[in-house]
Amino acid sequence: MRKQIGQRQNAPFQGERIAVTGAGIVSALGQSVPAVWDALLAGAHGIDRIVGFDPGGFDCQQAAQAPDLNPQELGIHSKDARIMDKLAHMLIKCGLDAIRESGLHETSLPREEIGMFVGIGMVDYEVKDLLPAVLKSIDAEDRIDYDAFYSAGYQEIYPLWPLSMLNNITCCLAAIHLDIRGENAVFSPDADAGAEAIAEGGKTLLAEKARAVIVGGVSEKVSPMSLARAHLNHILNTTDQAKEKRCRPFSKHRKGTILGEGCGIMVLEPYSSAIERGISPMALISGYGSACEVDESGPGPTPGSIAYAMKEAVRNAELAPADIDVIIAHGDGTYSGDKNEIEAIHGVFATVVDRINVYSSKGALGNLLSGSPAVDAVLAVRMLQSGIIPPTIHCAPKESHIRFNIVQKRPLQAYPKRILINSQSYQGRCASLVLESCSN
Amino acid sequence: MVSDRRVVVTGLGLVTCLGLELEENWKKLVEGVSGIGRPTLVDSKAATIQAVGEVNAYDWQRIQETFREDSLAEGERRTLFALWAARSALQDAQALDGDSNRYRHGVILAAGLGINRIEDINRWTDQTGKFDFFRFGREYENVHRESLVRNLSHRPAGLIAKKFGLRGTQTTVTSACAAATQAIGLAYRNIRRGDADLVVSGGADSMINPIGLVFFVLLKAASTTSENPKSLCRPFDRKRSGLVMGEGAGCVVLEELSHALNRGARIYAEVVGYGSSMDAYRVTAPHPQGRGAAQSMGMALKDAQMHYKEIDYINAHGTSTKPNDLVETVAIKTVFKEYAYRIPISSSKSMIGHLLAASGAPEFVYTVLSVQRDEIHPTINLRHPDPKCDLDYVSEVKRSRPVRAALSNSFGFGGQNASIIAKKYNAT
Repeated sequence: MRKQIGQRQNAPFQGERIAVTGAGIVSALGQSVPAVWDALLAGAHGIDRIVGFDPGGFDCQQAAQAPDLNPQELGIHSKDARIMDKLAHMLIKCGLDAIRESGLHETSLPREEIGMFVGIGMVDYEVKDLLPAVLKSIDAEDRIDYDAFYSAGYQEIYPLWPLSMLNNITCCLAAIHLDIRGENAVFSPDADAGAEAIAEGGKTLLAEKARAVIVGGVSEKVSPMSLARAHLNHILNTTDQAKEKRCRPFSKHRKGTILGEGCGIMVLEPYSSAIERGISPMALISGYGSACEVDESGPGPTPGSIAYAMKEAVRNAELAPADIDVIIAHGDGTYSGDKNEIEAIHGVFATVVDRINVYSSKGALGNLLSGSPAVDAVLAVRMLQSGIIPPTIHCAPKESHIRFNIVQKRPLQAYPKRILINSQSYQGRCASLVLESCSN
Repeated sequence: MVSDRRVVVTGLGLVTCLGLELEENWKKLVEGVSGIGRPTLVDSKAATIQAVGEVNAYDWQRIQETFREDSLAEGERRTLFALWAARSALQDAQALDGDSNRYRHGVILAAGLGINRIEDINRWTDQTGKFDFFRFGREYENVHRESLVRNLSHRPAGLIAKKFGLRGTQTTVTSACAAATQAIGLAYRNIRRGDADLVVSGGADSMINPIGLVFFVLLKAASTTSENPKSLCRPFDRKRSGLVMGEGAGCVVLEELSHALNRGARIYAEVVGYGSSMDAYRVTAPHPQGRGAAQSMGMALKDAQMHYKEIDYINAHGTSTKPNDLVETVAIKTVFKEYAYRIPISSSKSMIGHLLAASGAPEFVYTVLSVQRDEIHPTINLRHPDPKCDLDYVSEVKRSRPVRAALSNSFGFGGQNASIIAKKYNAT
């Protein structure tokens, strides 16, 4: 992902590179990058019985819910708190951490030149916000009487409730809180949207439309609605005979994914401007590729399109598949998703597949949908910095025909230099990113 | 950015209350015909909103018949609107059947909220007035699909990609009312930097449903007076009383110039500039000096490497709300200085209503047609000049004049803004 000059498409040449200068994570395993990282190295996972509402009727009652953040500690005024939910809290917390780490808040960079690109999952209504209006609008036969709803019922709804339903409001609240005024977009709702946000942010820097960007993604909130949607999309682990349903990426016994809550945010800057202001960048984002073709037999993309996205990302980074040390897989623990991803990795990395290390964070953190790629990217940054790959949780016994090395059981000291991250939507789109160590 | 890749518009598609056919739709618009009427989709005399821009029943039937299978599988009007607009645009561009290997052809679409059915809440509420989460968990299969699954924001983009075999980028932008202009702007950027050669872009939305009908009333942004629907939406008028909802879709086919020339495509106009910004002020109101709005217009001009005097027309966001129209006027003056008084500005919303997340899409289609045809549609219902909105809003009657380049604005709830510039195509 370097600056494009001239008419040749995606041709290699010298140019500016994109540096990661700050990062923040919130997930079920902690509210900071060090906390989450240490928990992952220790082999912990954050999946537990859902709290906040009674999930007992659902086939899948497990999720990796993030603990609530304290809005006051984030400096959020109580007047804003009512339309802000966990998603906004997580985005603000990660944004503050990432900006502090980058030192961006201490620069004189005009706020108009700082951009923001985030992937955000579906935003669902909270039953409690609409229930009083519904109760006031029921007729004698227990049906909704719309005359009653329009004349009086709706007035039971908090007047700013509509704002809380807008998919972009989390981003806008964070932008106000962090005072970010530059180029921006919100993408939705699956993992590919989070990857798109990171790539679009990087490319906005290359096009010199911003001098720094806040990029990343936020999951959906685990709620009765999001849980029902995941059931209806047939992606969840609902048939596991084990008492506790887990997300088992690449396992022979995988039965589906498990929802997770969380957020990942990075500050990206042109490498040269980071160096100029005396920062040593944490990593480089060097490649992006995407493709789209739905697999009719499952909810995800075909092996061919996953392979295409990976090849494009590697090519965009001016690398060959053999240069990749680690793949952070989409690996969501669904039967067809993992099957197609295995096939695609075997194909693209055919000659070097036996020395490729593969990791999936979803066994530990759950499936963060649009939040996953950014969290995975921050984990990739930590892998590049520390040389260590955390273990993939709950993948034993692994699918027998897998030819790559799944990092499992314990952390692996592998000193990776180049990491590929995969992400997929449940509508056939896939997107891949390449991160590199700065010392390459 | 140094790039020789130029981006042109080669196809247009529309679904609005003014019709499904591009020429018919445009003709009504320049003649100042309002498509606003009483709501028929939601039948209640008690509804506070009694004026909307609905796609008429005959057109809706045509859409359903054209996409019979999808209309059975999908509950959402916006999804079918999106399919119609995308197919029209691709047909118009003669790019419906591209080569089979369309990895460099993509779709970038704006999406809004989707429908929430309050019947779902009632259904699982017990005698004591409590929502029974346990029973909901047992019976979620019975939930209205459009409340949970068919309302997924990327559903329209996914269907378009699948139906027309577009295997490249497939992106859904959800930046509220700025979303469609952002989607088209990002499509332009994707092609310009070499990530795609052809992108179907735009947006579709419909909130003419019970929740939608109270949504903007709660926010005090909707016009709730019961006067003649056709004269209710009056952007920049002193007596403007709030937005009037429309529904529909708009799609454009954006294409890299040589890709278009090689296949002999007709070129409507060239896309030359895009900018986006955030107010970072309040989620409930735009910045009073239009800080973000001015910034996005300025960035689009800078991106286009154009002087503001090269802009001959502005298709305004012009929502007919008190704050927007004032702030947009202030922002235009900030960017265009004394020249602001000499640029014709008009609001399509005066005739088709506010298409919400999709609003920038038909408005960009109209902007492109203005550039291609040197014709500017009027802002209708502007009869009581507002001393604070004192620019040239092309009141009531269309204007014929050379339009070398035109700028279209979209500003979203929450404070996201976007501006895009289309220019007459010139081979050199």
